[in-house]
Amino acid sequence: MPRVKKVEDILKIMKNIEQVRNIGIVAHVDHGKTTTTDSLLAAAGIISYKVAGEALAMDYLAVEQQRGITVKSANISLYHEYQGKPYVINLVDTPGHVDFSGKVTRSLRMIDGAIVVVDAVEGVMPQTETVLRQCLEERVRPLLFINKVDRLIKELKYTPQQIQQRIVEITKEVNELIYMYADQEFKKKWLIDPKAGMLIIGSARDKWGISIPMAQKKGIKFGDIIEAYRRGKEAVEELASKVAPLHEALLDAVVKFIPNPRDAQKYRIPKIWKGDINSDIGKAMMECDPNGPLAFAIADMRLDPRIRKLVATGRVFSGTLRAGMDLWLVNAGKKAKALQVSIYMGPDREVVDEIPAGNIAAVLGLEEARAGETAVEAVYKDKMAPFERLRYVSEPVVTVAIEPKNPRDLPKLIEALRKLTIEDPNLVVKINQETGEYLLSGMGPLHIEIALWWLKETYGLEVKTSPPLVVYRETVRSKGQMFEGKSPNKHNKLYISVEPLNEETIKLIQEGVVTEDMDPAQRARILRDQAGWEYDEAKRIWAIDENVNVFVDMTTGVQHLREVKDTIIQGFRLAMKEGPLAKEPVRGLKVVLHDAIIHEDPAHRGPAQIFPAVRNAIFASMLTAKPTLLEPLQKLDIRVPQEYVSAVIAVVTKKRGRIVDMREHGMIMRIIAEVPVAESFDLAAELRSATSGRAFWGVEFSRWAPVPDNMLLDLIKKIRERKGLPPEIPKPEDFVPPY
Amino acid sequence: MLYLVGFGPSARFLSIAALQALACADKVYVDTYTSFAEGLDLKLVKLLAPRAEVVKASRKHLEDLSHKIVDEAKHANIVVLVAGDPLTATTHNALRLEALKQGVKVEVIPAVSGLQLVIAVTGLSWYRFGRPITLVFPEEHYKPYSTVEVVVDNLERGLHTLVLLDFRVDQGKIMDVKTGAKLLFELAEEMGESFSKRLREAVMVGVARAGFSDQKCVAGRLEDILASEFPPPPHTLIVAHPRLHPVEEDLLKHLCGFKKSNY
Repeated sequence: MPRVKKVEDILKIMKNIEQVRNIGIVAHVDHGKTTTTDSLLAAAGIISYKVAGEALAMDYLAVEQQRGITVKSANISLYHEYQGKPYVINLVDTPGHVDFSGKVTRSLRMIDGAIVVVDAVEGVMPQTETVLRQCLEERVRPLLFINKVDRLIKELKYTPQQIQQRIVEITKEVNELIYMYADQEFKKKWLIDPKAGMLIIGSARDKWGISIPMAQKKGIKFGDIIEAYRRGKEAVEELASKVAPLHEALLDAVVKFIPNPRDAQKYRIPKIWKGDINSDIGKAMMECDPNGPLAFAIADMRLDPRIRKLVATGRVFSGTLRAGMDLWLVNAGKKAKALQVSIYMGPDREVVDEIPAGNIAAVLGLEEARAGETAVEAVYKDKMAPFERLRYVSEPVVTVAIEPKNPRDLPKLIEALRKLTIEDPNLVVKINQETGEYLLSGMGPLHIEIALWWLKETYGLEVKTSPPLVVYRETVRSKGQMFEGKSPNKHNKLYISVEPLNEETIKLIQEGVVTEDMDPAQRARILRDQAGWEYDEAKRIWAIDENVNVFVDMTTGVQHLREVKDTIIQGFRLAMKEGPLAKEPVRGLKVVLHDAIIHEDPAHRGPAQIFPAVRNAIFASMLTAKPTLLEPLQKLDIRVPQEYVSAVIAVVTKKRGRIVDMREHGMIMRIIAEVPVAESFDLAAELRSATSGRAFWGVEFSRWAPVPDNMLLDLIKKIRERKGLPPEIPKPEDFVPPY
Repeated sequence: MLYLVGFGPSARFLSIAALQALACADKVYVDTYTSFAEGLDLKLVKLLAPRAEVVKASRKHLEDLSHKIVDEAKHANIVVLVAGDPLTATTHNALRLEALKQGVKVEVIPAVSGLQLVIAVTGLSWYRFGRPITLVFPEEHYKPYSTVEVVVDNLERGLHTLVLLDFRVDQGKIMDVKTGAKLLFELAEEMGESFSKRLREAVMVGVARAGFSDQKCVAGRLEDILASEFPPPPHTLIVAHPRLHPVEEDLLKHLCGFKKSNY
């Protein structure tokens, strides 16, 4: 049964673009993404068919096996025959846990289609909605796999009618989401049509799966499947191996409905790349031309612990990637050489000579690249616009202070943390300048926990950590006064005011529609049309930082301003990292430079002079603009039997939470709530005890919201004390002294 | 009363007025970061200002805590002792203004300025100099291209430029004339042929420790500067226009080993 293919055969097919598909599997945590993946691996002859379901080949980190969830993406090329024709299916693994959504987004750039796995019992969960939305935003076409149908049969003892009803319900819910989030032209085209075969039902653990056309062809009914389960293990195995193998059902659907890379790139390139599609490279990418100039979008940088080198994984959008090629890293602005090129075959890479456009490649030698980098042939150095900056939907919200148990391990820890943040850009490491502590920030407590485990496992580092702390943001709620920020030598003066960015602007920046490095005129048009900016002001944006703050230069005819522009921008970025209230990052601020006086001589307008001038004026203005803290809120999607609804509401309310929505699903109530992260560290335990363990739920980052006014001063004081700052909030005079 | 007292380039040039101000000072701030002078140390100052509390003043004292100095000057004789002339650096004028604004009397005691002395040492004519400019060390996001612009702008008008070299005692970053000259050429290279050509044609004059007992100056091409030995900083660089006045040329020859035949 396993059809083991040689690398040469796979490569031959890869060159024929109609026979290539790039897909991923996405799901809510525990809905069976990994077991589904393993069924596919087994079929490709990579691992033994029998152990699929137990081996969890893609979760090759022990931590994931302990937790049963997938953390780091892995990739693999699969072989499949459909109607007598061979196909290569590049399967990109995407993490299933909510805390790592940044990675999901990143891997979506590589794929054209996604199998959305939904647990037949739990149905559509919050993360299902999140990943589906992300897929559609990147124009990744979804297929639906309803998994764990065996639970409906064995645990819930559903009749065929009940099973069918459940499947219709889930499909309908998924289609509603597709209709809601897909771009106009795909809203109808991409709806899951079960009759056409876009829906597969089955059990990844038991390795069977079936679509309606397949069932009709093979004459199978629900009753037959129920009967197989009644007869026992052997009958189910027979079903899986002979009648309805899951990999066949899934891969048939993939070949049939997921477009090949060339067809996909025609509509995806204009969406995911912001360069000129009529340029040489643009045309080559639209055509997925293997003879065009090389364009390689890197989605993942990973340290290979065996060779201690960084592996860049990405998609070749045009041209052919060959070992020995001289490349140009567009964002890094550096040259690099592709030392080795390989494809993924399970946990191992197979070295190859070349990889043509449309395929997924792993490359050694690009040490300076980071996830999100675009590499081109060196001769196209100045002609390539980078792929738009990858957009991260989530932001770090939890921090721990970290130190080695043995102080002598500090250099080792610093090096390990550096590597960790290369592999996972959603982890942020900072040094507390006052205490010298290393601070590790992540997207949730679990994210941090896994990073710590990784430190121990890979680098043998035992660390001590503080309890997790919530990361806040500082922002303002009204327009601040204009202040004069003086340099210490008083010969440079900057006149600055701040105001809040409106919601539309924040959204455009967060979604990556508006970025710092885009064409200023285009940016100004978008901000004018979609966020109510004056065109002239929008045109004068100097900088947009990673925490969604904008710097605007509204000066006219200031002498020497050009010479200090970069210094001012850097000063702005630094100021935004630690705001005046509690040295938390600033978010959603518009900083306007109205006028400036700059000293004649470079010695008297260096960073030591300009940074304080920028910072002091911004901070003074912020303090007159109704400053406040924003706290991260989590969205909880809770399913609970009716009789526990009031208990759940009580817990949510006690945690300063808010019920957003309640819907009935038969006997089960679906409650959507928002709870501050600060209140949620023991939320799981409380929910469990309040519902006798009958509630199950999903969590994801929801949004930043102002801390309630009655808690604000107390909270600021607490944070300041923790950071060793004087407890009183500074006043504007502390930053712009009257003398 | 606030006294801004110039120490000059060397203790040898201390003025009588400076000695008087020190003698009646209640407190002396010795500026240790804007410049450097031969023989200027706390021991000497304590000797010259026997009544005073003598404080080594850092950037923080003179810039961030300037209001404190002004406050003190309301009730006592405060001297800020500066190497060279007291008003060449930005800091001291800012301090003067702050004092005046608060009604504190300020007396300035001038001294020989390092800037004047550097030019005097070379024999170049005062009247041929354009705007002076500092060459600072490049930073992570900043390269001092504007310095090259000023130098080349002066050259295009037939003028010499006094290039002050970065001098950050507090950070231990002091630029010597070889580093400075090399940096200037590198920046010009990056800016393009029109800039680097102008610099290659110019006469570079490296001056070390002007006014000190071991002062030295060398004039010639970049290679001549790089091949010469200089005593330790402070150093200054002059980029002179190659069309020199005969008197300038002769003086450069005698004072700085300039060889016309190289041009």
